[in-house]
Amino acid sequence: MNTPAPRRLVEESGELGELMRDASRQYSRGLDANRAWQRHLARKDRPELGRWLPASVVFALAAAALVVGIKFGRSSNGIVALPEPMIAKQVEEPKLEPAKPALNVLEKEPAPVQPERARPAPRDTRDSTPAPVEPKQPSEAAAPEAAEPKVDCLGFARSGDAKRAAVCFEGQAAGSGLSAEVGLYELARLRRDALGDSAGALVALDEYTRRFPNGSLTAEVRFSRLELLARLGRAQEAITASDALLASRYGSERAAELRLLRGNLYLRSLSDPARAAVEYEAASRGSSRIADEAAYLHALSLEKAGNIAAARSAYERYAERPGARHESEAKAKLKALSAQ
Amino acid sequence: MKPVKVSEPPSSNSKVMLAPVSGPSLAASHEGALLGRCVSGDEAAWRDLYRVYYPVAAAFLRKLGVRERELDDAVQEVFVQLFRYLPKFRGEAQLKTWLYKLCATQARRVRRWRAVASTLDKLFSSEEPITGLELSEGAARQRVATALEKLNEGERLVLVLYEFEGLSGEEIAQVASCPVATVWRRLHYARKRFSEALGVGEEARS
Repeated sequence: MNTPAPRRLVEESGELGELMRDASRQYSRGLDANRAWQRHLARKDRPELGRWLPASVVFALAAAALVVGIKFGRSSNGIVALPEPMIAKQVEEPKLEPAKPALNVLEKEPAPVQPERARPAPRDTRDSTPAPVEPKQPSEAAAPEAAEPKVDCLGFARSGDAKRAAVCFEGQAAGSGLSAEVGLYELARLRRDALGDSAGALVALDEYTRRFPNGSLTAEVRFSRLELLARLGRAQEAITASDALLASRYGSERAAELRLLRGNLYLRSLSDPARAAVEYEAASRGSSRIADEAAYLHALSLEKAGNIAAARSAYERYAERPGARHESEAKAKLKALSAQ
Repeated sequence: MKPVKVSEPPSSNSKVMLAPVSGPSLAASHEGALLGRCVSGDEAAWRDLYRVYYPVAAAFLRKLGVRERELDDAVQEVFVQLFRYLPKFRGEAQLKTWLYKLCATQARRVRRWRAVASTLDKLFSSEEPITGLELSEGAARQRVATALEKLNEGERLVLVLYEFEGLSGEEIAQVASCPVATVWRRLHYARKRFSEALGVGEEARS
């Protein structure tokens, strides 16, 4: 069932509504568009140097601070200590992490013991964005009601009292509207992350799907459910669920992630490298990190399927990818295959 | 639909495909014509567009925590960006939605710059950086602004867009570049924290 959009606070009649309306009026006070336009014209005519000077000064100061930092950061033998990631690592074999599926929707969300504010900002909203881009069309249209709980269930989770938080979320989930939806979803995350109860988490997500087939969190729930199935070793069920998800609007937006997960399931759980190769190949288009991972695993699964010529060609193509993360492994594989 | 690629150099035959736009005071057809004139370089049209959208952008930036002394620069920067990339605007999103997105990015920059400036102040000056709200602000605005400061960036953006700007979940998802489901989740938590910070409970809302 679709729940209606929550009533806006400015439309409410109580103290809060009154406050919001007053604040809204006060936010719009004292704005003179004509004067601002004159300032805009003056700014537009300002030389580029003037516009960029403040930023350049800051950059120069930052660079100077970095130089000073490096100078004073030298160890006693005069060698600058490099941070850990800059130390070259030798990797003998490509690493396949068997327990970790490609799709890990829940881990993208804050762990229940940590508030949402700890989540890093979305990539596309950073300052380094070279130019503004028109917003993308969203994926969902559901607009639920938000009835806010009086008890701070997340607070219990944050304070480390996971059991109390679970009871709290169960109570919240027994209600209705967005609050109940969030309660069920948070209950699943809590059971999975804090209580180590993946099966219980799956029960909560299944209940969500039953009660809110077109709820606001449907997409996240479906992806989370898929990931849990993979985690619980129910690979065939996960494949079936991913078929349905791929055919939906949610799945088409995250097709690469889904294909990578399916490849992992075929390769690791179902021992079917030939089908894994097909999924990986589909996920390898583009230049994202997922595509990079999929391109390497495509070559690896071809090799495991016994298609050595195709594997060699795939490794070669992979090694030529700009910024290939497994370049050294791919080259080592190529060398080993040539020696055969 | 794919978003416009603004990194490409403008071409003389750039098409401006305009969707119906719900501007604050312009009818959609008028706005379409106005945008067309802007793209063709008509400065009078730019001025008209600026006058229509300046109050929207400035008030929105204030709600996102941009202070009065930072406001002018922030608004101007938003419009510099808007006009620079307007020829590439294809109307796949509403102009107003795009403006909100530019403002949100600019507000983030202002906050970061403020953090840098505060550090520099501490390094090179004994004076404490000016904090708090402007005296000219109304009491309601001060209360709301203080409560909004308690929210994280994502929650603040969603709450302001929904509660003050009246955007739909889908429109907010476009501005915040996140799924609609995330919008509702953020709104849920943002409202809770916001009400707590204001000291106004659920019972006061009915």
